[in-house]
Amino acid sequence: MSSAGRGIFLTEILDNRALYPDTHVISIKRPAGFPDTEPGGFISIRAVENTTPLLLRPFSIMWQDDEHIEILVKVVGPGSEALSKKRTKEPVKILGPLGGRTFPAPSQRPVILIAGGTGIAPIAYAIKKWSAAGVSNAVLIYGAASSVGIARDILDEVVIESHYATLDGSLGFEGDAVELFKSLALDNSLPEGDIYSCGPRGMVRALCDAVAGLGGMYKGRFAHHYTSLEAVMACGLGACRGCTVPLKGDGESALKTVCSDGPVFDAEEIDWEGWTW
Amino acid sequence: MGGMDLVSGRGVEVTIGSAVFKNPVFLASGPAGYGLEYETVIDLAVLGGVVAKTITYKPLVGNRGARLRETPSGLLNSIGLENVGCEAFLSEKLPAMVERGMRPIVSIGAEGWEDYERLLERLSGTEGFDAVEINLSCPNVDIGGMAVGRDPELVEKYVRRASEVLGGKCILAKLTPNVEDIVPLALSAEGAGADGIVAVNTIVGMDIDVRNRKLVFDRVTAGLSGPAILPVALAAVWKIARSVEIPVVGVGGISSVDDALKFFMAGAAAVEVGTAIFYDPELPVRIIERLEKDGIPERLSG
Ligand SMILES: Cc1cc2nc3c(=O)[nH]c(=O)nc-3n(C[C@H](O)[C@H](O)[C@H](O)COP(=O)(O)OP(=O)(O)OC[C@H]3O[C@@H](n4cnc5c(N)ncnc54)[C@H](O)[C@@H]3O)c2cc1C
Ligand SMILES: Cc1cc2nc3c(=O)[nH]c(=O)nc-3n(C[C@H](O)[C@H](O)[C@H](O)COP(=O)(O)O)c2cc1C
Ligand code: FES
Repeated sequence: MSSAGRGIFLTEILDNRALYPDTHVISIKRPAGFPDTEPGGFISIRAVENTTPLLLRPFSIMWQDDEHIEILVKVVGPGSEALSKKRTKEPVKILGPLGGRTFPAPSQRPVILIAGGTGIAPIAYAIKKWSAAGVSNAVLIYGAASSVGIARDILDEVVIESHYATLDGSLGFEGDAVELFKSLALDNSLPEGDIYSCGPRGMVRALCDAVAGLGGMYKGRFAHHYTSLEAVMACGLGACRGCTVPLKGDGESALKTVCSDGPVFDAEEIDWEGWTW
Repeated sequence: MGGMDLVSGRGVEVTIGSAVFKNPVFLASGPAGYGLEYETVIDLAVLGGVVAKTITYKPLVGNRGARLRETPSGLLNSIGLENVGCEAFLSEKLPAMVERGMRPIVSIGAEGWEDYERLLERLSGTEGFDAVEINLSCPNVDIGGMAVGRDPELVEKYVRRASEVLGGKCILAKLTPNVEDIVPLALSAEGAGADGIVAVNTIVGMDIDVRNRKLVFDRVTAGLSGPAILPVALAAVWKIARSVEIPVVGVGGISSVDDALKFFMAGAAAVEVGTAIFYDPELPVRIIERLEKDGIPERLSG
């Protein structure tokens, strides 16, 4: 994504609804001049007026049209909590759009979209945007702790083949999204295609292992695996060099910034072992 | 006596050594990278100066491990001077800064003596900038940085060499607050030919991840910046401004227009905004607007 049109915008909250107690869908008025974005693109929001917490909070864009920018906010600390309490018409400052590399638009090959928890946000954007553009050969695998965490209604308007996994078995497969992926793959229920993932770091890492572990006739079925990463960020612009992720390769020289080299990376290139922070 | 006497003020212009800045509000070195990354976010051309990320002779990849951690009204960083090195800086970043109307101030790392000398040689006779800030104060590297900047004799040596090699350019010395008394460092820099003192760099701090019983930073300690350090920076500027004849540039924790005014009242001739650029990128422009409207505040006596 280019930086053209990127800026700090004063806008307002249009709507804030709790999907379930700790997770909100917040709709923000798209400011004049805010550029179009691609799935994987994100914005940073000033959650409070004072300086604790100090930094803007990054959130993936879950949907964007002429009037709205929508994000999914899970309450995990003071910033997300302050955001979850914002009311309609409240002013809010956003920095964006951010991200140097977003999910590539799918070619002819099918895409297997794999989301865990709030990782559904950029995946939902991809599904909605690409369905609108006529891309139909996509499969969704979506995991959460329980059925409460599966936000099916954010995908209501679009119908793609979807598989759900819940740790407590309250909806769909009992287990996590990676186990579900493995069982579908070994069942021959997944098309040969590219994986687009977003979720907790442990999930994406396990997914890499799962793909690498597929042998025999399944080997090479999923040639590319793109994943959208998270890191603590300060500038969001590639300026401060604070949000590093190590890639495999010649040691130290392979540190990249999540905000501007990503947030989307080739999952196979990530040095999971070395990413100790 | 003191800072303001040597600052010839016309409107909001400020003169430091041989350099005239159109206003006394600069971006601090580091948070904003080479300024270019903020190009579409703020109008960098209206700023009095943009201090680029500190460069070293050779590129540095910076520190592994976590590099950022918030504290109440503060930020710990352990970037470790990641920078593109002087060749890439001079061939790519500096020309791009100039082309976009920025007034660059080149920040140079006081690394090991040999690399420092080579860096100075490389910069001498180079066009495109007329002001240099010597970073004598980075707490996040093993060689040079704060280790040099804590010792008045080394400060003297590094600053003198810069004024010899870069004669004619405005030389600023950026000091560390991680000493018992910052004044002797400022006096050393002044005696060695610095045209201005920049105070302060970050304050050494650390954090512990309680849940995982783990240090947050691989290097144990990091540098604290942001509103939490303003009182420390202000006291440093106050003391230095009363001890040296050359202008003082105040930096540390500026988070509002009033914060900036405090530094002028304490005796600063100019200010730099660092961490606040992350959460309020428009702040430097608001400070300039206020100064243009109300003038630069008089320094308090005492
Ligand atoms: C590119 C990007 C996209 C993101 N998209 C979403 C999204 O769509 N929905 C969503 O709910 N969250 C998203 N996040 C994570 C979100 O930014 C953090 O949850 C938020 O900043 C936490 O702020 P806080 O003040 O509430 O909590 P803090 O007090 O800052 O953190 C609370 C806990 O969360 C952890 N944490 C903080 N920041 C992150 C982070 N960036 N990633 C993982 N753990 C973190 C902390 O270590 C701590 O344990 C995204 C992050 C990035 C970098
Ligand atoms: C992420 C980050 C990177 C920094 N990098 C540098 C640097 O390269 N050189 C330098 O002289 N100071 C560096 N600093 C210090 C700032 O320039 C400034 O002196 C300090 O942060 C205090 O000001 P502030 O509170 O306004 O940020 C850095 C600060 C931060 C937060
Ligand atoms: S957050 Fe500053 S470089 Fe990524």
